Amino acid sequence: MEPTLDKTLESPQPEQAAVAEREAENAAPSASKVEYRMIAFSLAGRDYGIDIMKVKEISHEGKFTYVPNTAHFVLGVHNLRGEIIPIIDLRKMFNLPVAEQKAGTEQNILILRLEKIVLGVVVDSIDGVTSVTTDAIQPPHPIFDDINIRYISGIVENGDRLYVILDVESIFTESAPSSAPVRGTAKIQESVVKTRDQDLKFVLEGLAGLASFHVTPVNIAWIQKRFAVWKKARDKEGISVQFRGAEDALEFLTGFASPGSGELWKDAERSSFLGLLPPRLSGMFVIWNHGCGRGFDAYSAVCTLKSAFPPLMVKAWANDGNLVQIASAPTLTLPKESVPSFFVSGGYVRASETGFQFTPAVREIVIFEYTESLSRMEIIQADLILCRDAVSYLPPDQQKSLLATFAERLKPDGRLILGTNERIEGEGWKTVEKSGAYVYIRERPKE
Amino acid sequence: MRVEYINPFVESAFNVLKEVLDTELTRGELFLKSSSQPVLGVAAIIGFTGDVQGRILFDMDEKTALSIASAMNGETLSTMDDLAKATITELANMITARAVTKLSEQGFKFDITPPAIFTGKDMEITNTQIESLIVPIQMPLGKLEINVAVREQM
Amino acid sequence: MKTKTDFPNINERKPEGLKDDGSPFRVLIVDDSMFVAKQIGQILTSEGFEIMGTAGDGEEGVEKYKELFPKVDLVTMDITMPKMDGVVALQKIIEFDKNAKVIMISALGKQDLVKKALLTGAKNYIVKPLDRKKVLERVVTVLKKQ
Repeated sequence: MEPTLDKTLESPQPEQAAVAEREAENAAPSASKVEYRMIAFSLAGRDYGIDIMKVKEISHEGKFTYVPNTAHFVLGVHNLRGEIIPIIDLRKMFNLPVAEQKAGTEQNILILRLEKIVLGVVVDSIDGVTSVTTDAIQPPHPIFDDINIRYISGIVENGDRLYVILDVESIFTESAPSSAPVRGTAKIQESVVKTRDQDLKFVLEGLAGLASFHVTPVNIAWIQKRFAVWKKARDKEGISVQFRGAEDALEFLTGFASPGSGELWKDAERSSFLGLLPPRLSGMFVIWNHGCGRGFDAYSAVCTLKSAFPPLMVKAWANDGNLVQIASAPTLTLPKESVPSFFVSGGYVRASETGFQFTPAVREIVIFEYTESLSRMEIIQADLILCRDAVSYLPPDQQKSLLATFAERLKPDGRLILGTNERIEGEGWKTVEKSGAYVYIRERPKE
Repeated sequence: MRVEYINPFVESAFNVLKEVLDTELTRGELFLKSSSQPVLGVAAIIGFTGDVQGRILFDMDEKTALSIASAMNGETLSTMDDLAKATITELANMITARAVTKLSEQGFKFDITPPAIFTGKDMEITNTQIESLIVPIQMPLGKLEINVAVREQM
Repeated sequence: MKTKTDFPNINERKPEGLKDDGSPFRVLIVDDSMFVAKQIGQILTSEGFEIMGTAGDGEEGVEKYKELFPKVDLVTMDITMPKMDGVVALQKIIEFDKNAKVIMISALGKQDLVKKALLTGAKNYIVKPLDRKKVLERVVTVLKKQ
């Protein structure tokens, strides 16, 4: 059979390998021919391997002492000749199918001695020691969807089997979520948040799946605080921490939204906003309001600026990819009760049959665009980017690229205002806090 | 695309098609497209100039184009000859002109170029600079996609 | 429905396109769209008008008018055309013949161009899509005025 391009890049065919090995043996010993020995085992029908150096022994046990308040994949603890070690069911940990077992049935256990911990993992069957050469091991590949690529050291073919080599150190090692990102020389934050706490992990997944809210360094600080409160309350009531549905996810997120979102800003919000801007502004002031929704932030910001700096020429570009929301923005009509007196007394709105609408003078200032692309924004250099509570609802990689775009599209000394509970740190941003509100100033490029 | 521009195009298409073809119409959900798009077979294009730049494209397969042209001429046309092309072009013109009139009443100045029509298989119209708003329209005669890409001159 | 011929008619409706002496009004159609020209032609011919000529752009339209002068009773002039648009062509025709009767055909409705055309000397305008009744109405109105 004609070898395909893929095949030529893979490890050589068995016969070729044998030939190569013999030739190598005749030549000087080279590092790549190092033998790698692993314990081969199977989990839910697939073959895995763990470095034999990590495996202390093999055991067959059926009874574990149950420990309450642990994750569902922790079966309990076991007394191994005086040492109490946790027993983990890897199948449950990776959400693989597990056949129903009668309690007390003997399980196949690999006792692992890792850098920081000794523990046992339950597997389906243990196939013994297998040797491969390290050059036969291919880089990690999410070849199967079930296991996160982070946990895979590599893939190797041996005989007619394909083994996924697990990086057990990474699976069982703590890595604290980054609550205090490195300042100064750090680049714009990584988008990934690592956590060992399985409960928190489920909450993060629940937020993403049920509320389209993605936890990243932008919002992790608030999320952690909220999680602690949430967990405490749920534990007290005896309910699981995990979300039962979308309502739970939304309930979790109460308190995240910035004050004044979804409505025209009241006096407190307006003065907080002014506090984040320079005390004197003149000439032309360009605002980019990304994710403007129905337009509340854009209108509030524009009117506040016009009121505080009458001679200032303000221009605002507001965009959103949600047509239903933004379609009503240019002709936004609100009932009297929803309009703070500032807007009325300032003459920014006027009454119509159906409610209050912004005057043509105000509407001329804000251009609302239905768009999902940021290409136009390549042209605008903004003095202020207003993007409250929108970044957190993007997938992590999009959050990262949006923040990078913000950095590019701001004039030096330009300002970025995110949601009250969103943060950004990294090279090129200076954080300024004023009465609990934050603004990020684009630093001038170093000469 | 600027929000105020959307409705005039959508309404205009709806109204003109109803008037000219006297047929049932349903409008599909609007969406945005930002990659290059293969054309269904017959495309009538009208450009915008002045305070804005961009174009509007009326996209349909040949069968639909012939059905529409036949209906508008009161006789069956079986090939995309000059008359059929002129008919589709005129339809595009009317829809665009009405939208532009409406926009002009709202204070937005759009100038339009004379229409052009392209027919052929496997055509691709590329625009990487401007996002398009797609208005899908379904009629018993067939499906028509109106593709508007317009933005302010900066 | 009974047709005209079933009843002897004292006031038989005369086709709109015929003059009092029975000869047809002669029309020059200036339009860059084959389809529109055909439509106008069909509407008018069905009422007895005679289509004397068709021009595909403003320049051709002016030339034809001059050629056929003074036989053309009415010109229908599309506004947006390549090479020379309807308003410029209108102007040239009026310059040539101040009594020329020109009706503008436009998709643009009450736009500046239409206004300009009327000021320049067009007698009336018709908005597309063409409605047979309206077309005939406007044409007849224009032809009746002296």
